[in-house]
Amino acid sequence: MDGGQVGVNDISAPSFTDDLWLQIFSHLPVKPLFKFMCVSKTWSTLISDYCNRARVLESLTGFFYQLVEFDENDDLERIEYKYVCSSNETLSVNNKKNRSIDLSLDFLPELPHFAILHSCSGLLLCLSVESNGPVYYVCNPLLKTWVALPKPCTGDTIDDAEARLTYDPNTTHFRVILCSGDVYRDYGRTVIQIFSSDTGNWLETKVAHGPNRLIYPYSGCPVLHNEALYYLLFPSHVMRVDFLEGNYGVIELPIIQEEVPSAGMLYECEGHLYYMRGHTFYHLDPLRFQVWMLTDWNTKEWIMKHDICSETLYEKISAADSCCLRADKECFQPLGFAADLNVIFLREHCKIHYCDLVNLKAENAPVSSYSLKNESTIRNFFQITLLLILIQGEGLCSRQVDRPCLVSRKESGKD
Amino acid sequence: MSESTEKKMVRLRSSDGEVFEVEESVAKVAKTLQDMLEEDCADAVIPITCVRAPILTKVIDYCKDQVMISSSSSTTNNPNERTEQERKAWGQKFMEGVDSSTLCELLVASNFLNIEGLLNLGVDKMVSMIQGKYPQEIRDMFNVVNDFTPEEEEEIRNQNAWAFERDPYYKKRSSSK
Repeated sequence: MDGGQVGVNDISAPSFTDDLWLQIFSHLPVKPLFKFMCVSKTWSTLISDYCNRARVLESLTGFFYQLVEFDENDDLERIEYKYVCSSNETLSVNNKKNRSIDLSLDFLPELPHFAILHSCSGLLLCLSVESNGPVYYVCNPLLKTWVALPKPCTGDTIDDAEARLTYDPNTTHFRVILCSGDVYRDYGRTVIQIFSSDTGNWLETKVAHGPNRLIYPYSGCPVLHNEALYYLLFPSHVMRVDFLEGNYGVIELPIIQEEVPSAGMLYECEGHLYYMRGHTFYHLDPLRFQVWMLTDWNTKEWIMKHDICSETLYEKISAADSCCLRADKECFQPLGFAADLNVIFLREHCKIHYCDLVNLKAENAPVSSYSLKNESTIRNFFQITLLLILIQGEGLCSRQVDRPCLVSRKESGKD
Repeated sequence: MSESTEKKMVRLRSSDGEVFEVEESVAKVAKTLQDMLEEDCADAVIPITCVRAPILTKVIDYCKDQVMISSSSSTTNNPNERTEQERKAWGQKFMEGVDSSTLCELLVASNFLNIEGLLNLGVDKMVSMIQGKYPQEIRDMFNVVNDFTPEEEEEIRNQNAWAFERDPYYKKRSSSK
């Protein structure tokens, strides 16, 4: 970033160093920051440079929650998704001030039985059940663009399919994976369907995962990594389907999944596969929250990354939040885990607590709480989607606008 | 811990030649000066080349206040001790009536002298001053020349269109039915 000072410093007062500008930018909310990109070329470079360096990513981490309002007049449920930007004091390494950004989903058309299923690097995967069947949507809440996916090849098996979105902002293409056990017709087989925004088509693969292993509805946690798909088989295996080599195989999990099959979770982070066991978290006492990392598929070696007693978590939470009802541990419900940030989310009645597991041992453990506005309107079933937004200067924005697959509403509709 | 039996004085010279005499403890609020004083490389008069006298006066006011707080807070139950709220109010009052050009100079001074608290106050003030402004107002404020062609500017605007929209910028879904 040479020459970055010249234009910016055409200022009547003594000159600001880049350093000073960066200080100011780091305190600006995202909106004006991006607005000021068109002030001049130097401002544009300086701001993109700042965005790249400061990793605006973390400061925009947040989650969606589903709010259900019950209309007593017509006995209808109205479901609304709200976005909460997590406090950056907790989630950001940079300790930046809170940035406000509007991520309402109002830009989407009216979709019947709308639900958010998954998110990846700032894109959301949504489902709407329309009269002629379910339709998957991928949208970008930041850029307010969306696209409807064509129907999957095997329409009737997607009822219990678990849908996942993978998106690498560097390749500009996203993929949607549907993974389901073909329980009714092909017991012992997994039906995998993958949509690629590159080709615009679904591809179906059927894999025999053998007897005594089950892929439970909504609990396979399919993860696509390096052209291989990984998913959980109940009770104790991970399946890998390698699309490049055309083979597949299983390895054992570090621990057997007990009781509730849907409680374990598989995810990928920075090139490694992780398994999180969380279900006994609120069933047994003392409770444990454990995360393992798979070092190498061939050696089948898992390393324990986190092993946290729920007591510790509750203590940290109640220390940070005096209104926490610690006496009733039953009320704590694990909601999700942001792998790349090592942050766990828990719900306690009308509150969402989140804590940084890496720094949990520190005296002032970073625990934050978010109060949901109206307790009574939130259904017990609680869906949470972690949203990560990557802003990489102009790069990402322009790339996404160019992408033919995500049609901006402005282009398709009015204007 | 340094022995502070008698008050040592330090002299500072502003860019326009005015000399200020302050207690060493006051000068040491500025990390840059603290380093100089500790390494003993400070001359009889320390030149602060990029800071004018009126700005330096304000900076010294700030430092004096910091010294006052830190000396009072060491004793318990001191009435001078401020709560978080009072400190905020004090900071606001300190920055009250500071216009944009003074603010710029204050920022440069606190950045150069490395006074974190004052820099934060200044940055906060600057952020609140500029965040609601249009790009053109920013150009006017900082005398920045717009070196984009209209097409280039339009393109950047389009790329970041969401940043230009007003809140709340989309009609409620229910109302568009």
